[in-house]
Amino acid sequence: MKGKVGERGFRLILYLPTLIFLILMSIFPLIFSIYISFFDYTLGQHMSFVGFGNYGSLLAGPPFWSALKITLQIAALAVTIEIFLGIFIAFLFNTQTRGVNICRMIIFIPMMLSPLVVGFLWKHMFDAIFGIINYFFGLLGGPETISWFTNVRLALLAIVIVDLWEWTPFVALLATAGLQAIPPNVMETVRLERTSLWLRFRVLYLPYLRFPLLVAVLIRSIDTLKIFDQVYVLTGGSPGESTVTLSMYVYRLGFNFFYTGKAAALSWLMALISVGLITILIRVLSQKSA
Amino acid sequence: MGKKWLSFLVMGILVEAGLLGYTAAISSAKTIRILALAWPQAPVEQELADKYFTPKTGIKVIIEAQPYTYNEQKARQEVAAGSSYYDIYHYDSQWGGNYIVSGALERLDTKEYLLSPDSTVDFDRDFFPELTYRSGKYPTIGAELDKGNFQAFKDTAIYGLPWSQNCEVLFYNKTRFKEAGLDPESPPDTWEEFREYAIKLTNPPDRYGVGFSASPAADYISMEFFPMMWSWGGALWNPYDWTAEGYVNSPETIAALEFFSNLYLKDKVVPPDTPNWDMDPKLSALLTGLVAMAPEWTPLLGALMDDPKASQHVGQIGMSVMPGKKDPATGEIRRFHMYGCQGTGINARSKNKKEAWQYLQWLVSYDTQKALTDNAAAAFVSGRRDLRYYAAGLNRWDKAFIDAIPTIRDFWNIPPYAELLFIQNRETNLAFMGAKSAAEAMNYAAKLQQAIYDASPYKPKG
Amino acid sequence: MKAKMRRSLVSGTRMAAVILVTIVFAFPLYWLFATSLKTRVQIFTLPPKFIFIPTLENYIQVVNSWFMGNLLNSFLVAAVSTVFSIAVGSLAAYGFSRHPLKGSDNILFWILSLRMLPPIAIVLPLYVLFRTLHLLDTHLALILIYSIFNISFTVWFMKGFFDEIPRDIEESAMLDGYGPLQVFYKVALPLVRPGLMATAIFCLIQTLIEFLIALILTNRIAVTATVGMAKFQVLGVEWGQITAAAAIFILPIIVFTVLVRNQLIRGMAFGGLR
Repeated sequence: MKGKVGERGFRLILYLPTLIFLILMSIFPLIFSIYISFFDYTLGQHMSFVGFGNYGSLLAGPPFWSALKITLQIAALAVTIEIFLGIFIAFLFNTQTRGVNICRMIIFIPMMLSPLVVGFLWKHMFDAIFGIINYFFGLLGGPETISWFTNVRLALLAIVIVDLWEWTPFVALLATAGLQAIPPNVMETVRLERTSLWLRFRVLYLPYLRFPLLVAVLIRSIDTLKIFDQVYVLTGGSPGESTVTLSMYVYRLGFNFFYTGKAAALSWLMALISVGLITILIRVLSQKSA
Repeated sequence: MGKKWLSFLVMGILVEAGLLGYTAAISSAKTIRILALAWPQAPVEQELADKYFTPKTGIKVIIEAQPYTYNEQKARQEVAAGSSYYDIYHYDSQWGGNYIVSGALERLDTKEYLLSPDSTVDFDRDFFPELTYRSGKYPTIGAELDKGNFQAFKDTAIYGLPWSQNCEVLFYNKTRFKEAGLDPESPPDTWEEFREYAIKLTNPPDRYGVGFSASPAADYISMEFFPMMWSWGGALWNPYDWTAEGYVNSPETIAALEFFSNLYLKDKVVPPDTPNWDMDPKLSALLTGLVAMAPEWTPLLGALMDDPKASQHVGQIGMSVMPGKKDPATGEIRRFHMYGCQGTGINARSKNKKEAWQYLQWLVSYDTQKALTDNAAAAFVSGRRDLRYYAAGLNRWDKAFIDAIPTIRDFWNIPPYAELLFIQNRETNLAFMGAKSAAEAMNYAAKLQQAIYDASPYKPKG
Repeated sequence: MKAKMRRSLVSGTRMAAVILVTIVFAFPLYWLFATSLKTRVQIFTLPPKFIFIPTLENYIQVVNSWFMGNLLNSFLVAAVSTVFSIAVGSLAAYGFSRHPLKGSDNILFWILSLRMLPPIAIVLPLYVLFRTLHLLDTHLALILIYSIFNISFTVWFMKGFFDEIPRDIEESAMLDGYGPLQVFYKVALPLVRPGLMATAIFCLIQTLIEFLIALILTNRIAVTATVGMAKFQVLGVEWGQITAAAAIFILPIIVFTVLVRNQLIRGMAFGGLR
């Protein structure tokens, strides 16, 4: 019998490194940014206490609500489509035919690209004149110079399309994992019986897909709420202000205008909104699985 | 398994310590660090410094070029942290005000620097005041400089020497002119002619008369609009008392904005995507001949237009001064050029100010400036007066720039410039797209800008 | 006979659909790669060129530039951070799974919420922190910061894998006289190895593609590949070079993922341990 580590001692080993590290690393940024958010502070210049003034002026101004609306639109649209498309692809690819694995690998690659590169690539592809997408539209008989980025709806659509391209495979991968966990004997039973598609889906597949899809929804929701790199490169907020997300608004306040205090306040508003939404999401999803 | 991971971690820390030590070792020899803009000039400057400056003085020079988009951010966070990491900062003219009020730049018109008996730089004698007064001296009043009244600021504090000089001129495609039946050697002289030519040159989907970078991001659309606005007799603001009302929404400004917008909305002489164009699509459009005319920064296009790997119209692109508009009072044609010069100054917190000053003197000296001018890869035009004829004779973009100097103008360099510019860009872009009328847009801009002027602690009192 | 024909028709159509989907996703990748082989003139022609004379010039320029050093930095930082995060994070994940504390759910949520922070929010305070510690522009700084997100992800993700281990396996190990520590690294850990690989891959990818934090916290020495790529914007966007850099960047990642692909798929199979 090797040396025994007591239960309590073991717990310490398990938890302490993580908790100490996370607390140490996060405490200063969190406290600093809360502190700064109560000041009217322009980077390198004067600093004056304004209490909740920054929060107030942000919430009172239209840019905040507009950015919130746009962020929620993008997140809701992208995540919803990604989930359905991802499940579909998982089912489609769920076969033992040779070559499917290679295809799976290929569609996984977009996820590995830097969002900056993805933004540049798609900006070029969506270009009104030189873009390959308009070229294909032209070939298929449609209008040849669709100006993607001067129309609000098209610009938002472009952003969603890019996100879909990058992340649907991620959802598909998670869903595939769920499907591959189904024991083979259960699969056989299904093949023999003649049950309706929906019933089959609900009774057989859903239990195995539940956890992977939960992970997918949570991760994608968290990530699209803070979406920045691709949108910045793709549209820069155009046309006008209609694709400015919350992250871009923070960037503008903090990095273009150098209103550090205001940017910190907005970041905290963002954090609160994210936490709130994700909490609601988790509640709703765990109720559904009950 | 835990042991393996632990050893990885230890290795990582050792590598790190090694690198830190190595960096410290390098910096113990006299070294100056420059936070530079990633313009073509930077690598050429580094080469010249390594070849000429370091052997002569024993001072190593490290030029860290950061892209334009992030440069101000990097500099200002260093300044806010009171850092002495960089010895020299480059700054675009509009950033200057903020750098100075944040205490970033060392004042140069003192006995240690320009007024020292050993100084090899004479600020007024050596350089074009049109170029250096705007970016090097603070505070100045742009309107006075526009009138050529440099005398008024002879004693104003100097914070920077000239680094990179450029402005926007009109580039046009001679082949396209010939195709449209226009004389390739006479580019448009007035804005009315400009519009006429543009209409003749437009033949969608792959021929347009004009390219504008009309995006509201950064300073793009305003760069296109301001020269037009000024030649109509419009103004941005009253720099004496920081007033917007009556200036940015004056009848002249609004008329100019209507002209500008109609090029897109009515005349349709610009590509459909134009309201979203930043500099890159415009550059590509010029190089491919998609657009026949466009205002563009001299070195940017100048460096690419005769490169067969980049340009589809090698040798076919000409340059001229910007079109103008007749002044109803005097009958003269007024034209203006967008100022795009960057200054370079010493970090007020630097620990190597003497060495930094040595470098700056070397940088703006005749020999170095000539070497930079000679190297086409640097896309450089010197701000020195005594290189003017030499440069103009080089048969590149230099002549166009030098011709433009007397009518060069800049916008705000006061601390709140960023938000003012943002509002200006947004409203101009909305008017351009037709989402608002020109009058609505500029009236709204005046209102918002006035609020910013009033809230600024730097507004002149009384 | 009919059933067999129908089945092969279905599977044939299915394969066609699979290939179609793959092409749709792969086309932009092809375009990325094609652009990297073109000169500026070729990139901006109408109609877009599918057939052209390729040039290796962009790759040569990228290889001779600052980018290769940046690549090394990226991989070093990503590898160390991933290893560290998995080491530390899986311990905690196991804890949450098998030895939960009071209020575990709250702690777990707090850990998850760290991932909800947009990097923009914490970048400036982190800059101030590391400047005070004289750790700006170091690999260590990046490793520490990235580990926040990676540990958060690892804890949360690995907990799911640990949850799937049947309790009886552990219980029988305890009956055999294993202490809790041995149960962990002799029984539980090997069972979740595929999960560890999956977590490692996700952590690596997420760390490698991060941009803002690397941009603000590095100047010259510890610059990562994503920031280095953005520097190919001197004379307008240098499309050829950015795409070439992206291609070079992604190559090792693809190779690595191919090598561990079986682990990845197996690792993703939740509950497939029975």
